[in-house]
Amino acid sequence: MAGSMKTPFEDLNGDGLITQVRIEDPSGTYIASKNDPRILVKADPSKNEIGKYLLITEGTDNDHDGNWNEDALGGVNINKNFTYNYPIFEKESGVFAASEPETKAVLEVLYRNNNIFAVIVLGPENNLSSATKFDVSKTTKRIVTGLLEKDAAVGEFVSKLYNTATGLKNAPAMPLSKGGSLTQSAYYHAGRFGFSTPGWWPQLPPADTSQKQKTPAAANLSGDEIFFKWADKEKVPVFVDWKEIKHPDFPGKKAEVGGVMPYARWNPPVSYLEDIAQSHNRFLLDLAAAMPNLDVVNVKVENLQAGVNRITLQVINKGFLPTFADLGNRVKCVSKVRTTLNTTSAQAILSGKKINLQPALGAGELVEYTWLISGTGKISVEVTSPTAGAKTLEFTLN
Amino acid sequence: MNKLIYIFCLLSVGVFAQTQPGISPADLNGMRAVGSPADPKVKEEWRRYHDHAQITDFCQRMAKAHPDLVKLESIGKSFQGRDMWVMTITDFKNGNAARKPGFYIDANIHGNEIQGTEIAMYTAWYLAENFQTMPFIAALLRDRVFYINPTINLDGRENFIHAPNNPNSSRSGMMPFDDDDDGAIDEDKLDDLDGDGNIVNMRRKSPLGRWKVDPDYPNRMIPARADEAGEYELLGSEGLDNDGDGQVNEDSPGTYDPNRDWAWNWQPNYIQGGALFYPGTLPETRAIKNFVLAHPNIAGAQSYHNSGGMFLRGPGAAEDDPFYNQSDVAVYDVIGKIGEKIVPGYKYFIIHKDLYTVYGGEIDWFALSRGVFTFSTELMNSFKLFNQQPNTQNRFQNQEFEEFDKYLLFGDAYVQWKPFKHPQFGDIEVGGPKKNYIRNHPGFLLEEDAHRNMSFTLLHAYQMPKLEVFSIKKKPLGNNLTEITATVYNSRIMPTHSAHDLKYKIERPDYISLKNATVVAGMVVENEDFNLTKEQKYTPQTIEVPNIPGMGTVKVRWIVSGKVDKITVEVDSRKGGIASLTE
Repeated sequence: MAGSMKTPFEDLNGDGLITQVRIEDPSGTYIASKNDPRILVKADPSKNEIGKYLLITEGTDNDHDGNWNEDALGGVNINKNFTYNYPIFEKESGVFAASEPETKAVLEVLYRNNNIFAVIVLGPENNLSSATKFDVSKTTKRIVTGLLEKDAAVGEFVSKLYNTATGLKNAPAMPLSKGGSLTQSAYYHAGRFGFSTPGWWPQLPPADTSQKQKTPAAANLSGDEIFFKWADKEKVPVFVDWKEIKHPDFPGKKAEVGGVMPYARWNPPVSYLEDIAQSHNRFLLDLAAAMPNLDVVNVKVENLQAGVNRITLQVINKGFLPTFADLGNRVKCVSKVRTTLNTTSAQAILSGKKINLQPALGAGELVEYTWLISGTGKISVEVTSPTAGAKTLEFTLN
Repeated sequence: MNKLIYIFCLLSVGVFAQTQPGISPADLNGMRAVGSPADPKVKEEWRRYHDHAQITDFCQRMAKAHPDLVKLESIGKSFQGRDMWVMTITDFKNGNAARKPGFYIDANIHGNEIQGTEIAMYTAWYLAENFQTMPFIAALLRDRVFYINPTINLDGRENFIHAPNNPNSSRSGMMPFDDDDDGAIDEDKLDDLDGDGNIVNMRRKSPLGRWKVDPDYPNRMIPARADEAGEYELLGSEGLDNDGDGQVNEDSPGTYDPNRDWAWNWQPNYIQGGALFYPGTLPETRAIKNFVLAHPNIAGAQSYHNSGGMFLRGPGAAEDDPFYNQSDVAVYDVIGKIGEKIVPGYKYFIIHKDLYTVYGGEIDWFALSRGVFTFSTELMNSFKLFNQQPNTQNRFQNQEFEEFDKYLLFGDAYVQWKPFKHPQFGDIEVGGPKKNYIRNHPGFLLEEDAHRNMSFTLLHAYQMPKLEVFSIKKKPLGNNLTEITATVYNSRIMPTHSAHDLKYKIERPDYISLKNATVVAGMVVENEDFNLTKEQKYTPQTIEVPNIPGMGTVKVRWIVSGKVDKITVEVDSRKGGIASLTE
């Protein structure tokens, strides 16, 4: 880990792609899949399967330690370098939490802008196709590891918005990572809603119900098999055919380079992008339209006697989403809903507080304030929440 | 006759001084107090507290007076732009400083915990000034390198010394925040009502209050008995409601904790009070992390805090206990237990068990993220006042500090109660301990505790790994082949890799190389008596061993062909340094 970076990948067949090498070897543990011979799967001894291939990433063992390409240049996955449940001493997680300038830059933006309501990550996790479920046992310890109940309900609501706006179905399970991801750090540490979607995945044609028993149902196919089915149908090149090479680490053995093209599973061909961009744009607009929106209603100014007035009003969230995540109530950098009575020097507050802080207001929720004021003239009430807007009302007291 | 002897003495002193230039005179009057430099090149008082300008001046004088022992660098700037000075102290004329086992010292991470800085500076001064006279110190600086970072909360310290404060305030740095979420930043600070530089307590006479004056020590307020009417209300720390929100002193600059800004089990503010946005939000902690990553030779570290009289090891949180392997704990135990003897009244403790839970603390980062054996010391406690355990450690039930003030400080430690007309509270009185009493040492105790705590740290530094190639055995195998077996010995209790480091492969293995010979094969000898070996097929001339244990050995073997006279075995370890033997 701390040694020199001396084993970058090698493009052995010169095709510009780093794929895989399979070597025929009696100690191999891989065999060709029965569903699709291009795919190598682990031999299962309980099914009388005997391994045929060793499988390594394309490259040579430069440092002769028996590992291939284990110490390549760069090597920090930023989505494993964030603070929530940071994966210590794991491959690609970095030297410590938030060690990378990119991680710090993103977190500075997130924490320094308290009007950020939600973080949406387009990446290899998905809590939008189906929302994370509420689990009370994860919310009662000092370190919270599950969505609070109100926030889980918001997740369900936003998931519906997503599925409706994008029309995407059959999402492969891509649960939020165990740790170090931006989506989770945004929620558990910064107190903002965190959503993530890969934005695209292979959409298989509907199952052919007339031939039920003959072809395996999609549910029984591995991710690779679904992917190849899709690629074949759409004629998208995703596979480098196995081709024999001479590998310096395996003299006298049959070695072949080939396999899935890197990143082809996560990155669709350019011709797909327009559609993806449009459907996700629809989702973002729908989400923005549902965002919290503060208003002040039922304002009453009562003159009790000359020079003494009572002001009563209700601050309401007229949006379809709460002013901020329920977990944000605990987080210092999340500004609460603040209602301030701005008096002049000719006025004094007899009852009520000048500054009132209110925890998150859910969709349609309200809070009522009342003040007794002595003195006359102009007076104003200011309601602000960086994530839900601002409103100022002015009155004249007699 | 007398004259002759006198001349002889003069001569011998003269000869001595000539043969060993640079040595400090053994004495000024014929007898040097043992253990102290008689005529240090850098004149410094150790009964006072230094501010940033004085620390800078001291460090610069040290580097100037001891060019072969002290080098000074700024490793970064504080939030307010002060230079964070690190003195690198070693015998620069002997060996490569960057390859000696390194010991890192810092202090004052909390701005009000200022005496650790004086101890860190005293350590630098003591090492350099005694290098010529004490063989132990000379050997220590030949074999080890010290990185001394006297204060790592430069802004908080400066604020503590120069602005009005109480013993507990200015713990944080000075980065501004809106602490009360009212839209204004740092708008309700502490207020020094009487302008004496100390923030003390406010009291108001009231028959409804629950407090009364301590009859023995009238500086002090004590609670009325449960069934007794009180005389006073206590109104908190000296201050005003500056922003008219009904609260006093609720938004001062800096309300975070630099010791919750480290990348090990970091948790956000709602779980761990004092945390900022992510570990390393502060420029000060980032500078130190970068320094440590750039100095992988650092094997031991010490951080000075106050107060309570405790040598603390990690972890800060109970769930990290499993990361403290038994063999690592054994190293801490040896040093910690001797420490209890070195500094009477101080106890060897574990942070989460004996103090409280700390997530994202500095010493966990050193110990668990970097594999460095690390202590933090809570300096000063009631024991130190009369060199005896008070009947209770509870400050509100013992009278040690009041009594000490009366008999040894002659009343200098307290601001006497005096009347004040307060705009919100009306007629009140202000009084209480001065800001540098209770948590920080009184002057005359400072030098002694500096020396004792330095001694604890030098013990820790001494016990960092010290490697030597203990022996080289040659055994002819015939056919022009020879078997070479080398034994590498670590003569100190600390291994080159903590067990935690080994488990997570934090630092690279140690390399043992054979030079000046044609190597056919190389192997680690697991048991020499029974000839159990494990061959290393690649690069056999440089055998990689995962660790060289404390007070233990590693044996390696080569089969070489041809000549075997004047062969060199070299061990190269990041935390254990470099050693070699030619035979």
